Amino acid sequence: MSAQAPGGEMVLRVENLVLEYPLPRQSLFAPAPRHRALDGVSLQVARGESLAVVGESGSGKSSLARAVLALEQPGAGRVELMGQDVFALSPGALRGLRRHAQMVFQDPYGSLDPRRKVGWIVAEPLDALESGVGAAARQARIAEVLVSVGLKARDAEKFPHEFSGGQRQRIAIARALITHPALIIADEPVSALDVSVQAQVLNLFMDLRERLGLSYLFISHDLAVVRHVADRVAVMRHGQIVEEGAVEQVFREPQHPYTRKLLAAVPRVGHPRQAVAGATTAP
Amino acid sequence: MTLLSLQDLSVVLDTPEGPATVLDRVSFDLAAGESLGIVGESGCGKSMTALAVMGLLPDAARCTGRIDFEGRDLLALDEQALCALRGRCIAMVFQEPMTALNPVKSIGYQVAEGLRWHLGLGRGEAAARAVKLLDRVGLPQPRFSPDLYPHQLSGGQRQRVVIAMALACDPALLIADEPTTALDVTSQAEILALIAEVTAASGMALMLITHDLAVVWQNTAAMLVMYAGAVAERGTTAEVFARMAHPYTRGLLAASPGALGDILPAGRRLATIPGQVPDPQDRPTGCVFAARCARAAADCLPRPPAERVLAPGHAVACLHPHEEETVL
Repeated sequence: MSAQAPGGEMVLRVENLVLEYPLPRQSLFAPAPRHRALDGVSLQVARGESLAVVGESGSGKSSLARAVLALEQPGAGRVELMGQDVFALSPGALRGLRRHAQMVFQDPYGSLDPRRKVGWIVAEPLDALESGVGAAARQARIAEVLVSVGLKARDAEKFPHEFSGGQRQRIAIARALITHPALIIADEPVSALDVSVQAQVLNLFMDLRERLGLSYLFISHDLAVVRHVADRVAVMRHGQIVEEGAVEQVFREPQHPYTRKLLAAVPRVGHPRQAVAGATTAP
Repeated sequence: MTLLSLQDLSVVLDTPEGPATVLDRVSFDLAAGESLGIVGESGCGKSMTALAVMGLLPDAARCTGRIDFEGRDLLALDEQALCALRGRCIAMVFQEPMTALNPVKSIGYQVAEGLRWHLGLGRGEAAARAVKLLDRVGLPQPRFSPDLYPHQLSGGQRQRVVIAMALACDPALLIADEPTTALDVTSQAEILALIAEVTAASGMALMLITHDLAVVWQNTAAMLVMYAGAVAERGTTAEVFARMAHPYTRGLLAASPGALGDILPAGRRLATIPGQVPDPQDRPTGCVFAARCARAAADCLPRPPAERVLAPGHAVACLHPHEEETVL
């Protein structure tokens, strides 16, 4: 389908990924049942491209993010980051590869260590993944990323509690940028933020992408949020991608009934509330 | 008939940094069976208003003004009288259902608790009513046994249990504080529909607190926009959306990614409101929104703007409101 060369145009390639979690054993003699969180997921992210993965809780979005970063061992399938199979690499080589893919989490209150200064938090990926960075160069890199997310270089001396939710999410983004990654995986990066702050952080994602040529894997349950930052959307349900396409196309002509249901659920001014479909979803 | 009436309610919190005015002369009326939406960013006083009505403000809070509920001033009541009121006449649905529920009690027990406490029902009778209530909120037997525990349910199902608890004693007023913020969009639509349906069916008044203007548009007949502890704009939902007179209201709408009809063209950015809500300790003397407002002029700075009526049922606290109608 596209270039095969290692380190080529595809930043991320996921093929037929299957991930299962064991459930509690029901009987002493039967094998423990397994929950299939990812059921044959395939997707690709080209350099500079932004792909959004949407779905409800339990659809497997976050499992996908964890598997892409080799934080979970899948049952089958391949994940190629920068053209290299992440599950075939030695731990050392994987560590080297992690520089290229960084993560931004949902909760900017839980994801920053409250006892560390911002400078230490932001530099942590650098300290862990890149060796031989001198003290002066380290300080310069910290200042550079803080400025690039709209904070000040001297904010490195402050603690996370001195910042608002939106500023904390900027710190989390700065931490993801410090190793100069090609891909940023953002798991619900704005759902814990206020509306006006959400807009600021989404704009920052768009700015950074234009300036640094970043690729995004943007995970969210909110279609309204992803439509502004993504080029393509993949809709996930029960561990499978049920629809994938360009943003405008999926929004204008959703093909799968599940996509239509998700779109209809977004509250919009000028549109009456949608009638309730089923009383409850799966337990 | 007016069920709930707030008159010049101010709340001052004593903090180590000095007194902080978290609510500044908030007034509104809510009639029996009516619905009111309150919108604003975090720190604008939405939840404080709800907590004041419930009598759940922190100990360090000093209140002035009046909160009249069914003709009684809630601020004058003692704790015992408030306990008899909470859950019985005024019920609340909180944002985070997992923290609102007790993890070591079954959902049937938690729904029945109010019935036994307030109505003095026996164990068996309360349990039977609890099953009916769970059925009412879409958790039917036998799939959702009252013996289940909160951890066995999804977020949306837990919020249904919280709603069943709130409905138990058939209160006159239901306060829902960001009831769907912790939920998926699809669960959000279901829970909002459920709240609208149960309040309409039993003639309950609804106070719905949210940061999402679209949620207010779809669910309440009247609305308040709050900013920095004060009411910025108020009116019937239709009037407010047709005019959006306060620059803050327009800013909130423009910043909502979901409210926009179309996808932004390449290179365009979402509209934002620059800056943030000022801390309650150092609010400016004039209009609190002036520092973030594109329409601010010299006359905004000396004193806060008084509320003025633009049309019947529509008022705004702004000296330079938008005159033109919105295109929605």
